[in-house]
Amino acid sequence: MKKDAWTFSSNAIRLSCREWLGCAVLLVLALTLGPRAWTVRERLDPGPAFRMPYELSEDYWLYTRWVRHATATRPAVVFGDSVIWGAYVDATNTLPACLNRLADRQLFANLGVPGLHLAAAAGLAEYYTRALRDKAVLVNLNPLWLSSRDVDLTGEEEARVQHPGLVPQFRPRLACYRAERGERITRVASRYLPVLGFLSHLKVLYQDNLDLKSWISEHPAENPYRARDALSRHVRESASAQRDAVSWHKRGMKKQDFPWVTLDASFQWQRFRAAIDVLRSRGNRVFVMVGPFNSHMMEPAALTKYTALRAGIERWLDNAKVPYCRAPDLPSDVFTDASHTTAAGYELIAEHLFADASFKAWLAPAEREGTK
Amino acid sequence: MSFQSWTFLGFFAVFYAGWLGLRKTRLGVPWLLLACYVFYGSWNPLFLLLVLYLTVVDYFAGRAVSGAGRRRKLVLTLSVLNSLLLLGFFKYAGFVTESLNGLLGLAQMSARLPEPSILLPVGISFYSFRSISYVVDCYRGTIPAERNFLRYATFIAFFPEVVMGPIERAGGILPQLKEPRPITAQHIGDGISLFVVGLFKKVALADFLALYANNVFEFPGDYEGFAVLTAAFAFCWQIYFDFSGYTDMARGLARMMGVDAMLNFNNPYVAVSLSDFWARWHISLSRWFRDYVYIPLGGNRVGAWRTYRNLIVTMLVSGLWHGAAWTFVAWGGVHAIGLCLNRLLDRSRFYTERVPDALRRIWVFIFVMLAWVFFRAATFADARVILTKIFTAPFTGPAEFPVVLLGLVLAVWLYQWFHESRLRRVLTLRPVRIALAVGMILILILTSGSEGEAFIYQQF
Repeated sequence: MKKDAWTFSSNAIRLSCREWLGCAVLLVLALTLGPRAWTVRERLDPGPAFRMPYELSEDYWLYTRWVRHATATRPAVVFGDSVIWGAYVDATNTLPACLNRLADRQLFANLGVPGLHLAAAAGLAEYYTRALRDKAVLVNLNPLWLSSRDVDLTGEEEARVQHPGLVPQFRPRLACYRAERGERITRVASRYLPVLGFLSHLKVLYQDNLDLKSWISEHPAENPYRARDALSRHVRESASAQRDAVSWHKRGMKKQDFPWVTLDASFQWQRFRAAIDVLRSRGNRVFVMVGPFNSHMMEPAALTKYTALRAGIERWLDNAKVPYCRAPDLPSDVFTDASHTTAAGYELIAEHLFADASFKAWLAPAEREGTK
Repeated sequence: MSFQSWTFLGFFAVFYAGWLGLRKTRLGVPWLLLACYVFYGSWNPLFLLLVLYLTVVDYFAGRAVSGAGRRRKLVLTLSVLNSLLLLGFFKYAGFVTESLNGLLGLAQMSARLPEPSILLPVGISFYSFRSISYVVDCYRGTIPAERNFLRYATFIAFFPEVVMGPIERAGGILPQLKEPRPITAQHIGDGISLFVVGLFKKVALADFLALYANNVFEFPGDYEGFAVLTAAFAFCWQIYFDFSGYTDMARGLARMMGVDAMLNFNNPYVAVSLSDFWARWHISLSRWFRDYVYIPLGGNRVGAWRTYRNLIVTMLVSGLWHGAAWTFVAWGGVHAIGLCLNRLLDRSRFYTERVPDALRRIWVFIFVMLAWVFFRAATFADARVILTKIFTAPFTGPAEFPVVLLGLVLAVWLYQWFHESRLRRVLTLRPVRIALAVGMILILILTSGSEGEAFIYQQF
C-alpha cells in the first residue's frame, strides 16, 4: 500500500478494498454455513404429533426448519393460529392429529403458530415457508381476527401487535404499530438474512431471551450454548396442553357484542387474501376452513353481522375458486373461548371435514401421495 | 443520530452519494455543510443556533486578528472570552451554583442560589475549543484567516468530529476542504477498516464492559475488594474503547470522504510513563492544552517550581473540561501529581535505563486505572469507598467478571504490546489482518442486539 504522511491508526488492521471483499466472502461463508452446521448439533427430531414449541412461536428460523421437514415427510400441512396449534389440548389432540387419526396415517403436519393473526400468516407464508411447494395446504381462517378494529390492526391507538416481525413494516403504515425505525429495518433484514433469524433463535433458546452480552454478564463463567437438549426439552414441554380445557361459560365468560369489521375495510382480510395468493403461487393446493367461531358467545346483533361477514368471505373464496368448508356448528360446551375448542371439538371438526365432498376431493391427491 | 444507527447509515449513504459527485465543484462545501447541520441538528435543532453564533463570531474575529490592527489583542480576548463564557454558561452554571450553595451551607447560611436547569448542547466542549484554537492560530500567524465563510463553518461543524472530536486544528482540515484530493480505493479501504475497528471497540467491548462497571460504580458499598478492583479495570478499558472507538469511526468516515483526520489515541495503555500516556490519550486535547494553556503559562522554560505549577494548573483545567464536578477536577489533580512525579523519575537514570519497559507500563497502567476511579465515581464518597476497598478490603467473594470479556480485553492489550514491538511485522501479515477483521465482525454480529450505551465523552 502507498505510504502517506497521515498516520493510519494505532493498530495494523488496515485492509485494502480487495481484502475487504475477501473478508466479505469469508463472512458470507461463515454466516451461511454456521447456522447449517448448528443444525447438526441441534437436531430437530419431530415426532408424529410435533408442533412448534410455544415459547418459540416467534422463532421463524426454527419454523423454517420445521416446514422443510414437514414438506419432506408429509403430503399435507395445516396452517393457522393457536386454533390449529391447539391451545387447550396436547399435541396428540390437535386438529391435524385428529385428521391423521381419521385418515389412519400421518398425512397432515401441524404448521399452526400461536398468535398468528391473518396479517402475520401472510408474512409467514411469504418469507418463511418457501419450502412449502406443491403440497396440500389446509388454511384456517379464524374470524376472531376480524372481530374488532383493534385485532384487525385498523385501530388508531397503539396496540401490542403479535408477531410484529411478520406485518408490513413501512407500507402500508399501521397506525397501531409504533415500532422504532431501527427495529423495523432489522425486522425487514431478518426476512432476507437467515443468520439474523438464527441469532434470534439462539437468543430465545439459549440466552433466556437476553442479548448475549447481558446473558454473559449474568452468567460470567458459563457457556450459554452448552445445553444440547435445549430444543428437545422445549418440544417435550410443548407437547402437553398449555391451558385448562374448561368451557367458556364455566370460565365466567359472557356473551359479547363483537364489533365485527367490514370486509372491504379490513386489513386482516386483505392480508389473508395475500397469504392465499402466495401459497397458490408456489403450486400449493389450498383449502380454507372458515371458523370455527363460538356463535353461542355472540349477542344477536353481532351474530347477524358475523353471518354477513362469513357470507362475504365465502363469496370471495368461490370467486377465487379456492375450495373451502365452513367449520361445523359446534355445541357450546366444546368451546373454551371465542374460537378454541376442546379435544372433542377438534374430533367433531375433523369428522365434518372428512364428510365434506370438496375436502375429500381436495385431499385425494395428497392421500395418493401419502400411500406411495 | 449516533454512528452505529440505521438512521446514520441512511444519512451517510445519501450524503456520500452527493459528496462523490459534488466535492470538486462549487457545491461541494455547501453540500458538506448542509450535511453537518442536518447531523448536528438531529440531536436538537436549537443547538444549531449556538454553533451558528459561535461560527459567525469567530469567523469575523479570525479575520480581525489576522491583520495588523491595534485591536487585535482586544478582539482575541473578546473572542476567547465569548467562547469560554458560552461553554461556561451551558456546562458549568449548574456546577458553580451547586458549589456556591455548598459554601453557603458550610458558612451556616440559609440562603441558596436557584440551581439552573440548562440543557447541555452536545459537542460544545469540542467545537468551542476548535473555535478558540482557530482564532488564536490566526492571531499567532500560524494560519491565515479563512475568507470563505462556508468553508470555515464546515470546519467548525465537520460532522464526523463535531460531537466528540478530535479537536482538529484549522490548519489540518481547512486546506483539505479547499483542495480536495481524489478519493482512491485506499481511502475507502482505510475508512472501512477504521470504522469497523471503531464499531467493534464500542459495541463489542465498551458496551459490554459497561454492563459490569455500571453495577459496581452505582453501588460500590455492595461489593468486595476483588469486584471493585475488576470494576475499576473494566471502566479503565470501557472509557478507552468507547472514546477511541468513536474516534476511529469518525476518522474512518472522514477518510472515506477524502479527509484525513488526526490520530487521537495511540495505544495509551502501553505508555511507559505518564507523560507518554498523555502523548497517546486524547492527543488532540492534550495538544490543545499544551499549546493554549501550558505553553502560554510558560511551559517548562520557567524553572522547576513554575513548571510544576503550570503542569498542575493545566491538568486541573483539563479535569474541569471533562466534567462539571469536583471529582473530575480531582482526577485532573491526581494526574497532575503523577506528572510531577514523572518529571522527578525521568531524572533518574536508574528509572529510565534500568527499569524494564514492561514494569513501567504496568505501573503507569495501574496509576491511570486508579485515577479513573475519580472520573467515574458519582461522588467523592463513592471514590473513597472504592479506593479504600481496593487497598484494604479482603479479596474474597466472586468478582463475577465475565471470563470471555476478560479474555477479549487481555487479547486486545496483548495485541497493543505486540504492535509496539518487533512483532508488529506479524500483525501486518495479510492472513492475520483478514482473520482479525472477520473475527471482529463475527463478534459484532453475535453481540449486537442490545440497546447500547451512549458514548461517555458525549456528555462532555
